Amino acid sequence: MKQTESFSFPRFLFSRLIVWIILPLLGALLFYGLTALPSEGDENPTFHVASRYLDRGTAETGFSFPVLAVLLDYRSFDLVFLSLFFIVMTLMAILIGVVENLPIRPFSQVWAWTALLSSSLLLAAGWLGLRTGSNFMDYEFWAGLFGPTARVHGAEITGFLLLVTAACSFIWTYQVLTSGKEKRFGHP
Amino acid sequence: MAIHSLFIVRGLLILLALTAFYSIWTASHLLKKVMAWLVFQISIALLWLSSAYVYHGHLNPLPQVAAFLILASSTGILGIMLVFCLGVSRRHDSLDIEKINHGVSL
Repeated sequence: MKQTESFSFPRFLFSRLIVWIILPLLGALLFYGLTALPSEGDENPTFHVASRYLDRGTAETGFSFPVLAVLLDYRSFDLVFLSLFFIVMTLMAILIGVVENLPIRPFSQVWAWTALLSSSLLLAAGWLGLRTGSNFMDYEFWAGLFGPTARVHGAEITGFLLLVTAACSFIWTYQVLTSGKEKRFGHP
Repeated sequence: MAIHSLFIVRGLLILLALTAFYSIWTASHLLKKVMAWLVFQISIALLWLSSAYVYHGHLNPLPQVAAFLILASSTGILGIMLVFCLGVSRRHDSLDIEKINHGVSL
């Protein structure tokens, strides 16, 4: 083992310089976005597609709550990206558990495998929809197979799988984070 | 230009976001960086929610969905960062960057 290099002033200055370059740019970008947002009571349709979702959402998706219609049906592709975060989180927790040889009970690993299984099901169903239909989670494709109610049930299953993935990932990660505390911070 | 209360609220949220962003770069403790990043994401989500008022007779669903997706993905990334912090703390016995830099390397 060897001592690392001591505190580096140019490196410190460089990191501060970068943040003072990026900060005004980010601030300008956010304030530009702020001026583009409509003020209260403004009927200017900033989000053009929102009117379509509100007008046809219930008839097309079967959800009476517009947020669910957008989240689970129109924008279901985003949920697949969302599940990727939880997959990575689960895999990282598995990896650190193995590498650090953390004392995790075998029963606790059920949470990790459940998270991976539900996310795999979500990806597989989406991949099938993408291959056969026009969207990743093509509910019209599923409606053609299983009837008109398949669309809303498909969206509900998507939400359920994502919920299971997220919940199991969090429980698994929490168990990894809280295991082996006695070995941390200089307490072998 | 008349300044509305909503404009002030949004401006304060942006200031909060910028402060959190500054802390992400300058904080020397990893958990402080994680918390600053979370505050940054929350302020961006709140900025989205500030535009979810009644639109064509209904609440506009798009900002609500965007805020939900930001918060959900942020919690996922939060978990990833905490696992990373766990690995660092087990190797260096500290989450303070300066202590790690001044301490012994592997």
